[in-house]
Amino acid sequence: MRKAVFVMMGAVIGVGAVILSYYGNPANTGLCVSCFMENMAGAIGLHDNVRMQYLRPEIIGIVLGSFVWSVYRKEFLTTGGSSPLLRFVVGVLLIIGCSVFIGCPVKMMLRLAAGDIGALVGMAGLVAGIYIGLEFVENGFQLGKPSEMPQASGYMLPGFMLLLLALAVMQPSFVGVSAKGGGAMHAPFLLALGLGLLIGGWSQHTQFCITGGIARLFLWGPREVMNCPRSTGLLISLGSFFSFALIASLLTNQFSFGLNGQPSSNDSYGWAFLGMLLVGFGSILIRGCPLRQLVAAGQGDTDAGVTVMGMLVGAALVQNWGLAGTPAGTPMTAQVAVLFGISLLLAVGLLNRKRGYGIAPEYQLGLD
Amino acid sequence: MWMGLAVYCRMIGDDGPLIFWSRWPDGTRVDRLDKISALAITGLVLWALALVMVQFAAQEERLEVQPAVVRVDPELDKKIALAKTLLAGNSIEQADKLLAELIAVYPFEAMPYLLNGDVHLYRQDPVGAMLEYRKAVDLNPDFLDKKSELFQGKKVKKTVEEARAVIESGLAAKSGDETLLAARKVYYYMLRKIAGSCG
Repeated sequence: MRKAVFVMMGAVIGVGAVILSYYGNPANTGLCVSCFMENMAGAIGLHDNVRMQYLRPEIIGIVLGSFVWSVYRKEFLTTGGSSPLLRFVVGVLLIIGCSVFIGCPVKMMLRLAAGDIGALVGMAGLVAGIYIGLEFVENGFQLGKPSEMPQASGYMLPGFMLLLLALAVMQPSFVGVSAKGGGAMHAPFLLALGLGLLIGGWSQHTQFCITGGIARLFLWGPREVMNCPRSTGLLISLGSFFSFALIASLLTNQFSFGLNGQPSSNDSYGWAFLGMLLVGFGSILIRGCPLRQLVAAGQGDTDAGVTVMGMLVGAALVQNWGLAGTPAGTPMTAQVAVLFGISLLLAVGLLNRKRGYGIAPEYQLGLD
Repeated sequence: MWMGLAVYCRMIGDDGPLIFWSRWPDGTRVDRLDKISALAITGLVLWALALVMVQFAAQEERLEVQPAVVRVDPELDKKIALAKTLLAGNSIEQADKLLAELIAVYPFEAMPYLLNGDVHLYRQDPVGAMLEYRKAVDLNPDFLDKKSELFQGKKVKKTVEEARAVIESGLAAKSGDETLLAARKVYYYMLRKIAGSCG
């Protein structure tokens, strides 16, 4: 695949997300898988925070965009059976970690590109988590090799998103729609859906993944970037994502450089670090950041589909149990959840290692 | 703490301090990563439990001092309207007295705090006003929500900026003033609240 394709990937998500926040999504939240999952969980009645209820067309678009593009390119393949329940739990933990930081890895990039230097702490945590995850992966961690499954299973998650799309269009009374708060702040429906489809399609095409991109640095080192094989394309996409988002933020007057008073932030830097460490660690264990899970679910990976369901449940728990970071700081419940979450991932790592082995075959997929 | 843990992890080898744990039940050898993981899990769980214990202690104290709250009172709206009228008529002292009573009786109602902030503004005390607005927006975020009829964002933002000027000049004169340092923290907090969030 040519370098330009990876650059385009970064441009699509970087510019697309900034356009979305310019046209109504919350500031620095043009695209955020965890925030939007919380909105969707609220819309379908999994929590009762009236400020966080909206069926986000971006999320629906990402899954459906990936589905359509993978079918078109004949890459849709139903696979599964690689520790699904464990992935469900990790999905829950990913959203908890993101909520403590107040944003998923995509939003972290957007916050950085909009001048929020406090997000660097989250980046450091994410990198630390990726490093820890890779320690396990390189030392025989495995969830079991996924195998091909009956076709119908692969259609479940795209089908579910299609159902949500129908509900978002028809707006029946049982679907919650916020009249105020973060859920009420959204870009026009068709614009959000269209950009979601575009981002989903491109992400499927390039296998875009933020944690995967950073992991390449630890696996092969900076020398690989110079030679630019396919494996470092993700890193190119990350650089392109940041650059285009930065330019778009400047052009749309959404750039505000500084540490204090940034949207979706607080001064609990230690917990932000640990929250993103949880996300980086978990993402490596299940082979992909929250965005990548959505995209993989769209192309028939039922394990990723189970993770997405875990993310939806995690989003509901975050709201019901008060596990999200707020401008005032990180609530005690969230602190405990992060600590237990990291402990749980370490325990999973301990129990799922085949000692004396290197990288398991399922982790070598797509690394070449 | 993390640095210490990292150094400690470097020091322990396969036969380090957890020497009593050398084999898994299936006979596999326990390696360094296993031992580091086990130590980290223990540390994190103990940390989490300590947080829970501290929180439980704090919660009991809070429950003891929590005042009884009157949740429904048709008089509240009338009294708030009266306070607004008093403020509009420049009867600041009377409004202040009425609002103090309302806050004592309705500690979880946001509007009296907002009006109390206005009282501080009338007295040209933007820092005091900002502190009262903070209480108001914590109790009712609608005051900063453009889509709400209660939106007061412009007034709050202007006050917060005025407060910043007072805080900065105060700190320039006396850098260690704890009251002003605390007020600056509230200023940063209010900036984040005004900037908004996905939540």
